[in-house]
Amino acid sequence: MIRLDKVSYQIETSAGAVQVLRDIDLELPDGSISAIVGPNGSGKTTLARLVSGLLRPTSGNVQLLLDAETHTVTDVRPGVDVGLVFQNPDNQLVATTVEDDIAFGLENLQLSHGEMVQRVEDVLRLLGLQPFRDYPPHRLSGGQKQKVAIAGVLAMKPSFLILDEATSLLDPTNRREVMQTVLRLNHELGIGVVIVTHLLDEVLVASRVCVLADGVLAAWDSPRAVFSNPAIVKRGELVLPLSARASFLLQEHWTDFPLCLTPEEFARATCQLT
Amino acid sequence: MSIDLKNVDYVYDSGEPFEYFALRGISLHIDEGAFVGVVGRTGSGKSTLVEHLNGLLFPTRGDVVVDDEIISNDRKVLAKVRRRVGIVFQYPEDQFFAETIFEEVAFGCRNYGFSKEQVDESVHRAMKTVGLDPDHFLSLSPFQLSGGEQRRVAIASIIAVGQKYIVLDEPTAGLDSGSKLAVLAELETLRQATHVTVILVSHNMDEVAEFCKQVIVLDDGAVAFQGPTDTFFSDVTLVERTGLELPESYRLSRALKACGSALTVNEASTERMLESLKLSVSDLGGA
Amino acid sequence: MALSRSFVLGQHYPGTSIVHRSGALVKLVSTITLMIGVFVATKTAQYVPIVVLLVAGILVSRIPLRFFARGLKPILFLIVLTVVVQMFFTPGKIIWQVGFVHITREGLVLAGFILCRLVLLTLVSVLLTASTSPIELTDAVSDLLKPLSHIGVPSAEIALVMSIAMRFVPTILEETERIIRAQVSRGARIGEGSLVMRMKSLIPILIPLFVSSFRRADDLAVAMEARGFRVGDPRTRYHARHFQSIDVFILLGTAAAVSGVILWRLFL
Repeated sequence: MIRLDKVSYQIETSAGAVQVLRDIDLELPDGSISAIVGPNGSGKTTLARLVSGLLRPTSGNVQLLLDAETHTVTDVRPGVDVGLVFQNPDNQLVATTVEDDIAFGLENLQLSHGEMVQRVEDVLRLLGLQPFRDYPPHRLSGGQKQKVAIAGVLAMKPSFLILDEATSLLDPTNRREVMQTVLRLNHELGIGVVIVTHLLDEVLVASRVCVLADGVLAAWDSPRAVFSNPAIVKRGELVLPLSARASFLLQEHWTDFPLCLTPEEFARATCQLT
Repeated sequence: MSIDLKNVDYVYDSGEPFEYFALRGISLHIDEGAFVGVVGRTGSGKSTLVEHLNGLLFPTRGDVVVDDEIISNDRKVLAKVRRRVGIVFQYPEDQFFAETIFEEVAFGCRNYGFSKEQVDESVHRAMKTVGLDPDHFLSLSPFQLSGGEQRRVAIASIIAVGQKYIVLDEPTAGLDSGSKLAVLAELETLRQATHVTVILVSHNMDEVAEFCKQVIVLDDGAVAFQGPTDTFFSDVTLVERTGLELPESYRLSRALKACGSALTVNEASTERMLESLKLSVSDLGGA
Repeated sequence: MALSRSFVLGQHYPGTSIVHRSGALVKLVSTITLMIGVFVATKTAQYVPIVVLLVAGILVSRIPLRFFARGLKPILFLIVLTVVVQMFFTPGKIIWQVGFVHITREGLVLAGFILCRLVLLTLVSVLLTASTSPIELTDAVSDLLKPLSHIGVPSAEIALVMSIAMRFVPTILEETERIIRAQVSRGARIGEGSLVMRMKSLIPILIPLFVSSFRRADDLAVAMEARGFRVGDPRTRYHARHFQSIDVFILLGTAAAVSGVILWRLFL
């Protein structure tokens, strides 16, 4: 579990200190899926980098709980404990071939040659990237590049994977494929996932949603609870799914009509109604 | 006046062992003043098609005709065609180079030899069209804006020239949801005010359903459908075969029908759907 | 795509031949030695040992000759220019003359010699880069520089920087094409008019290119740090180096060819 305890972060600018995040408390259980949403400039990326250990909080703690009974904690190490996948697929691949790129993080870990070869083979197979092992990155589609980025991170065997708007530059087909891969990894390997996004579909796969507004935590709750609270929807500048808007419309007539998040759910609810 | 494509083929590496048909036998007709969507999965030929519309690429076979001008690799023809057809490419803010927003937006006008007064007037008009206050923005650097503002300035820098046809390749990609709707609504307002033709290339089917009355569907370099947007989205088999998804309003309407709900909705767009739903509910005599 | 495709010099042609499989360091050292040999030679005939070795290498590598021809293309102008200059402006015994234009015997010999020199240098380097993947090559450079790390030369970092540069060449070429398309669509006329106008027309291309490259560099630095990279920290290597018998052959062959050239020059 990663625990954020009263985490604040400020940056020094020429105009003085700017508070980017203030007093964030979060607990991300192992193997869970969480989403971070909020308007541009609300501090989403900063939060993702704090959780990954890439940034250190100005005050407060970000810690990895190793043993719940003895309360043993340690600082989060970027790459080793938490892997980050970024927005632009072109700007995070370092090496001239897929295989070598996956090995980059392992070289930084100073693993033995045999161990590296084993791990590279494992993730190539896990993500179905074997046919592309010798490909240079620029020959891959956007979705394939993001999969390579995920593979490179995964080879380091982190317990959490953070996607910082990692699908926002992809078309719907590639986006779906990348998300399916991530969900499968969560399911099969039990890796914890944090998704920074403004896409509705990606919010709905999370069990809990962290809504940021002006650097503070506006909500930390299930998607359903978040979408049913108009004040939070407004503060987080969230777009309601059409089905949710339709549900609200029906609630004006049938007060006990449930909040539905997908068309199928909505149709089922209306059929029970009539 | 219109844009017409007549039996256009485009072949990469023609005659070589790896020759590849990016476009095959494309015939299209786009009326002046229309708001047309161009959709299709990745690799279906959308980008190649777009580059044919202002002579960045020339057909291997067939003709592209803008108004009465057949596009050819002739300097005069190209200048004329590019003056008429503006293209906003994906992530157009990547093309910024000027020190001020004024200079950025004026770039196109200066290239076409506008007088000082014409440049001034065009820049102001374009900025207002995209909803940015000229007095506040024109002296700023284009690099210091937010993502949504940058996108708007980039669009202004194309439309300032005052083309008859504007092609936009994924103009809302990477924007937050508020800016997405606003950008398209501004284009629709522009279209109604000036009768400009808007050609929207998009992966976002909700957007297409909301704004485009006509749609051109590409699949594997060929035209799979051309006609009213509503007709296309009502043909679920065709939508699936072309690798596309239904807009949310159509999905909702289908789900309602599938479970035999007494509610009926207008699926053509989000707003119309919600309105019709309201009516349908009161018809049912809800409490 | 036109730009990215014409970029051949320094490109890899994957294969499984023994030339491909032999050690990059060995190939790099051989290439450098052969190049020294090319410069040591003073007569065209002295190139024979080097040509024999090069032809053998090309044949064994099974890389199509087309690929080598494409490698020669970028320096074609340079070749023609030097050959013409040597041919017409070398003083000596005139063998052909029209008006004041004349070709001398010495000029012809010198032109042929320089032609050989340029072509050989190019072909040797194309064979190296075509048969060796960029990452192997950068590893080899790093190995070659390693002794210098004792005097503070950051050999590992230099190798990494080279490999990143190679990784981004195609990406940045594509980006350039994208920007050109966008500016042309805004009515820009690139490469037209007077020299000053041509230079000016490059500004709307170069500035966006710089901006995006800086952004890439920034993103990449963060991404590398997120994968545990720290400047100066020791790293292990994914590509193991093992010395094979073929490496010995290549080294011996090169040594023999170049010594042949030197001996020829000294004693014949």
